[in-house]
Amino acid sequence: MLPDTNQVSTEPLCKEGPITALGRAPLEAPTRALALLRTIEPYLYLLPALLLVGGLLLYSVAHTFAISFTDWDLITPPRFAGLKNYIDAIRDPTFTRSFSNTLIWTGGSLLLPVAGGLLLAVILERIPGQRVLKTLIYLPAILSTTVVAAIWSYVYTNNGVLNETLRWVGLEALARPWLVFAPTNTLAMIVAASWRALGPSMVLFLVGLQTIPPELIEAAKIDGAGERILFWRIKLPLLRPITAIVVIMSVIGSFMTFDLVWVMTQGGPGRSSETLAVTMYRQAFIMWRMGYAGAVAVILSTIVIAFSIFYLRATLKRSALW
Amino acid sequence: MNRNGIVFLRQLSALVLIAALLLGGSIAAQDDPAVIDWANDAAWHEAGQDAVGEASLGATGIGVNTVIFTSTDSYQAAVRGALPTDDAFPLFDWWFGYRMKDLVDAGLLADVTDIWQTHIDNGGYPASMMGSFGFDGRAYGLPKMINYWIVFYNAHIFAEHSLEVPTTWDELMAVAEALKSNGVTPFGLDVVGCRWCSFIWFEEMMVRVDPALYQSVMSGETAYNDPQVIAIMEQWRDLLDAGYFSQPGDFADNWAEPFVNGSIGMFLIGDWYTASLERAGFIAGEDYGVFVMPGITEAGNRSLIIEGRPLLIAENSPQRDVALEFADYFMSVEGQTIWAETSDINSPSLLAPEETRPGHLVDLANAVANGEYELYTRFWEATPPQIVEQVVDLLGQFVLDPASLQTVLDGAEQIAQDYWASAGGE
Repeated sequence: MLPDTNQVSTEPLCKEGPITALGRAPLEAPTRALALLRTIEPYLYLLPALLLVGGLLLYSVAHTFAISFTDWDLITPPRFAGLKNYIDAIRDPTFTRSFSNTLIWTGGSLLLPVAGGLLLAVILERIPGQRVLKTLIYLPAILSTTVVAAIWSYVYTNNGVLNETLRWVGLEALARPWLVFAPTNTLAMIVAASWRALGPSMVLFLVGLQTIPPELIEAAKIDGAGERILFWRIKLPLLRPITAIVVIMSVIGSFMTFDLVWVMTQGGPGRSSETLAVTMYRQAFIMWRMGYAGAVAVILSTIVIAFSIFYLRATLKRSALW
Repeated sequence: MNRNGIVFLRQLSALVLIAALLLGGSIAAQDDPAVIDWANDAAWHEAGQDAVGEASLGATGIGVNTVIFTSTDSYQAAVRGALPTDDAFPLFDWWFGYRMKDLVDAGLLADVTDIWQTHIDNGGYPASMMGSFGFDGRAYGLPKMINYWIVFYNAHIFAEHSLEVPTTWDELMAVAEALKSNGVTPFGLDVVGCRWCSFIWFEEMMVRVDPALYQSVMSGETAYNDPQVIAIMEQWRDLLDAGYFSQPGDFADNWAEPFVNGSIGMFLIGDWYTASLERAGFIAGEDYGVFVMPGITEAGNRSLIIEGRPLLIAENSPQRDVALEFADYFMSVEGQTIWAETSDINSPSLLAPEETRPGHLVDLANAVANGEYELYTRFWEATPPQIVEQVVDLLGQFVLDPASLQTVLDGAEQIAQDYWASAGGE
């Protein structure tokens, strides 16, 4: 006779041990080996991921850090060089220029994709036909950076769409060779990058806006809050976690800016539009100075990690998420 | 052991034996010395390499397996990383002159002087060509492709303005002036989308005035800011100031378009530009022609800039000797004929049949064969890359701001001095 599976047990559930992959463990007198196995079981689940991250990420980081103290051209054995690569980098005027260009990228990325994305999200949340507009704004995000760079290279030529449009509307004085002189070339490329980055940050802000409880908005409205107060006092503070993520992503992205610059100007003319990531690549795969490139990578990573920690601490502490 | 156990053991042994045979067979196939890897970053060479490999397999018993990398940078990193080990590609394409010098200095390339000498003695190659593929009288690379740097002119534009192909420097200047006054940009030059293009007119002006001076600057014996070099650069500056060049930012990534549509009359570039024009539907002899830039001095009349793509053999590859044998076949008339026919390139072999050459390059190839030109290595490979990579950026600045001539040459000299001082100290 089969047991009645519909019968509800009145026995307290805690009488049995926890369910694990090793089976339901009895509480009575577990053997020492089994107890040990149960203790390490969660770590076994983590092992594949740990091996993957340790093998691929941590090893690369350690290797890059190690080679940054050497002279290495890939074909002869690395020679220990102490801090020479770091000193060379800091003394190199091109490194300083790359650093300032990277800071321009960071500022531009905060202004256009982050502030622009927030503005668009707030506007689009309230207007009819937002679905079509959202799709149109998001569309460039599905293009690869190389395609974006190729499109904007054409836009920025002397007889490209931008200059022709400026001439057509009578703003001929503003028409110029956009990718030739610094810092215009860097600013022009930031606009090209923002065209692609605006959509994803807008979507993140839209998601954030939708998570704000409507009762809060209603309550504020009843208390007489206008649109401006609603935005600055209610929505913006509640968007802080999302804003932190968008800002961090934008800043990290701007510090890593490489492919768009490489396709559009290769860091030129005359290295005037080089970013730190381009300098790193150039030193590694054009000059074959792996040690110097490693030093640039370490400096770049240190800045990004330090910024991320300080920014997240400062921002999320207030949201009690840190 | 019972009967079933014995049967099981027999079956197991048979399985192990079959597996060992299969495995051994596959390992043997992998190690087959008759098929060697040939790596490069030029996908358009694949058909030609495969065809030569097939022909070689029939003639010498050595075939090739083409390995294409889609990115030049990752190709270079992969090849350099493997060269010191026995995983090195036995055959691979590279860049000639100083671009291969560090590989030679590190002892990573097989010496191919004997192969060269055999084919020079047969009349297959000019002796002067070997110098660009090695150092101190020894050769370490074979000529897979030789490109001459010449002027392409738009035949329709020339006809429209009744212009003749110039044979002297003064005639060239007259053509440039006529084009400019008719609203056509005489010379195309892009230093924005193409950072290295800034050296094209530097090297050309140098060899058109004083080729010996060019070589002396490249080897570090004469300074970039030497008064003779400054005088030559001033002539280039005059051409820039006269408005004979396209404006920075005129190009996106298509150099053929402004030439084909007639907004640019002439383009000084490697003869590989032919392929871009063909893709754009521009036919040699009908739509465009080529000429060697006339000299500014008598010495400059006989100069011709060459760019070579060498085929190198890895010293550390276990298949080094087989690769050398294949290289000998590749240099032969038979190998070069098949290579030229199937890859659509102008064979560097002087004995390659005339019909394998693009029509507009036949006369030039014959002139080179007859010794009418002295060949000079392109700036990119004529001096150490540590100098080149920085000087091209300075020359780019000069094109954008011709008034910066002295600053640019002083900067170039500083870079050169720093390099030669450190190279001398090693």
